[in-house]
Amino acid sequence: MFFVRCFSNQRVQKMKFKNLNLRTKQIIGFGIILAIMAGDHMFSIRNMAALKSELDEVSKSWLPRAVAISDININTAKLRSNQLQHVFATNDELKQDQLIRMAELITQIEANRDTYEQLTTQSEEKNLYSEEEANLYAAFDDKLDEYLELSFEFFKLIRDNKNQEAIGLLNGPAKELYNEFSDNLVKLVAVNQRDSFEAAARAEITFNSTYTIMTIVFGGTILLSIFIALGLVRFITVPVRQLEQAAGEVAKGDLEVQLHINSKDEIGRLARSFNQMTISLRNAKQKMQRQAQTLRAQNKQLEKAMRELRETQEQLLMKEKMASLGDLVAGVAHEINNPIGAVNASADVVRRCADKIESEARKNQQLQKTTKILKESAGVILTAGNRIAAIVKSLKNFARLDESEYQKTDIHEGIESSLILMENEFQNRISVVRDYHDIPEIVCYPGQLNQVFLSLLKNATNAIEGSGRISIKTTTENGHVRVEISDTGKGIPRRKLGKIFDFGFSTGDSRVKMSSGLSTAYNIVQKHHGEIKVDSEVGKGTTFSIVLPIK
Amino acid sequence: MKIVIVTLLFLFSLIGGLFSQVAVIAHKSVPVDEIKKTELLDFYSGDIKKWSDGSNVIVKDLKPKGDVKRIFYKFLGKTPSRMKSIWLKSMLSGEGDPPEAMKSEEEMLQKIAATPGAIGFLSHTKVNNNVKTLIVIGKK
Repeated sequence: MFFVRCFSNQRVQKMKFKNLNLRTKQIIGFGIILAIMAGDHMFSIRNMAALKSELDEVSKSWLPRAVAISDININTAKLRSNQLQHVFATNDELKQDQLIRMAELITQIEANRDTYEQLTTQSEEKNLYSEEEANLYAAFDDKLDEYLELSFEFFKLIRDNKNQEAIGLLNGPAKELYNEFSDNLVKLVAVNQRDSFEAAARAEITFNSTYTIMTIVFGGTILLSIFIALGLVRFITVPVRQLEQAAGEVAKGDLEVQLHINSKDEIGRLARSFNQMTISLRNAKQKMQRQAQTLRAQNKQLEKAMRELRETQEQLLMKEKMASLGDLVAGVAHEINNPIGAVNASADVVRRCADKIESEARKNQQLQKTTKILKESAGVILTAGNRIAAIVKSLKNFARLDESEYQKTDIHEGIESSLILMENEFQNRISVVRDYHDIPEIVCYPGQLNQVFLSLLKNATNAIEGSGRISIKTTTENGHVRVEISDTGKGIPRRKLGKIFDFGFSTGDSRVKMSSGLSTAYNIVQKHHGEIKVDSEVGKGTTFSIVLPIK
Repeated sequence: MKIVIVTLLFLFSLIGGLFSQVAVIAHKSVPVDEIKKTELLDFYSGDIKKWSDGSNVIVKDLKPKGDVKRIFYKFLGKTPSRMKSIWLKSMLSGEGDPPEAMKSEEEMLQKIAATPGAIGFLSHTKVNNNVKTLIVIGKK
């Protein structure tokens, strides 16, 4: 199933290791290590088997063969020596013994030949019986055959008592044959020894090479295993660590984290899901932030609207108050004006009457005294009447009920009207210093501006505890008129300066009443496109400055 | 067609040369018509010295080295020298002399035909009616 999948993948796209599943990666990694180890093992077993067969051949075949051949050599030598002795043996018993002995030697030779031939047959099956050895043995066999044939003749000659001929045979052709096959035997031993040595040398070489190769392969296997293990770590652990770090950063609130893991395995899929997750989170967060921002803005707007509403409400209330005050003042002024006119006119008549009486009654001391009192009284009445008339005029002027539209107005007149209204509160404790400069009339709502001046004057009066001074300065600058109203009062703390124009602000009990006054003053100045500023120092006093455009 | 037949004949003749056959022959008086390898070995090694009718077995060897001798000894499973060792041992222990070695196949044929109880071997092609063939060694 797996291989089918691999194969089909391979056809669709070039199969890459990093695109495999973690399970497959691990199986492949450990599979390679296992395969290499199995290969090492097979190699060593194979070489050890070769080593064993070489050594087996030495111990089980070559050496026993060499021993057998040596024995044959010794026994043939003994046979020959017995044959020689046999010729010279005089004793029949001894001769018989020698015959038995020789038969035994032949038995031993045959046994050794059996051993040798059996061993060579086995070696031949394993292709380890060299042609050289086979030829040597065949030659030996041949020579021995001839020697034995001569031996038959030899024994026949002995039997016929032809000792001399027997000796001749033994020392002649038999000796030659003996030397030849003895030579062959010696060579056979040498060949076996050589083959043994060569086999031992081969075994040693095999052992050494196997040992070297195994050492190298073992080292290589370790290195490769480390390499594969590191590779697996790289392919598995590193992305997991990246994922962990990224998750940690996301947990800390960093939603900009993006993983760059391109593999198609479980971790790759996890990383892609993770990236999608962070993107979703980021989008959600942005949406939330936008919503919060909108909400804040809306909240601010709402607050502003509320404040404006309340101010407007207050202003409306004030306006209503002022309007009713204006009506009252107008009514009172009108009602007072008529009697005052009568009083003034009557006082004038009284004074003139008194003058006439004075001239008539020059001679009457008592009358003179009376008329004098009368004249003085009339003067007092006149003065008081004039004063009442001035107050009424000021009241009317201040209220300006008849002049509620935009018009050119003399600022000084408005300030003076306000001062007259405040006079009662000043009494003797507050002196007013006027520093009026030549300023042009400005276009404004005079009634509203008078309200501003009155508010500032009231504020200054309230700020002064005990006796003090209020200074009023008017100047022009760059098409603007500046009015500064300073007091020597207790001042306003710096941290509260920014708030004094806020609606409903109050620094203390004494200012509660004025709280709405300053904010109204601010709004009026704003309406006139002017500016109102405050500068204050605690313990020294406060200065309000109003800058108004002339037009 | 002719070429093929000629080639085949040539090949057969070659095979015939390679696998020359050896016949084990005996004097006509011997009481057997055929012989097995083990019996032959028993006769040649001197373990059995008499035929089933009690007459002596007279074994003959062939002196010239060649295919006939080689095939025969291969059939016996012994080399000539090993055979001779056995004979020498018998000779030394007084059990009897080694078989007489014929100088040629012709002599073999002649001696076998003339000696009652005799047994020997020669090329199958050289066998005549004067002797009894007990076994033919080598494939046809």
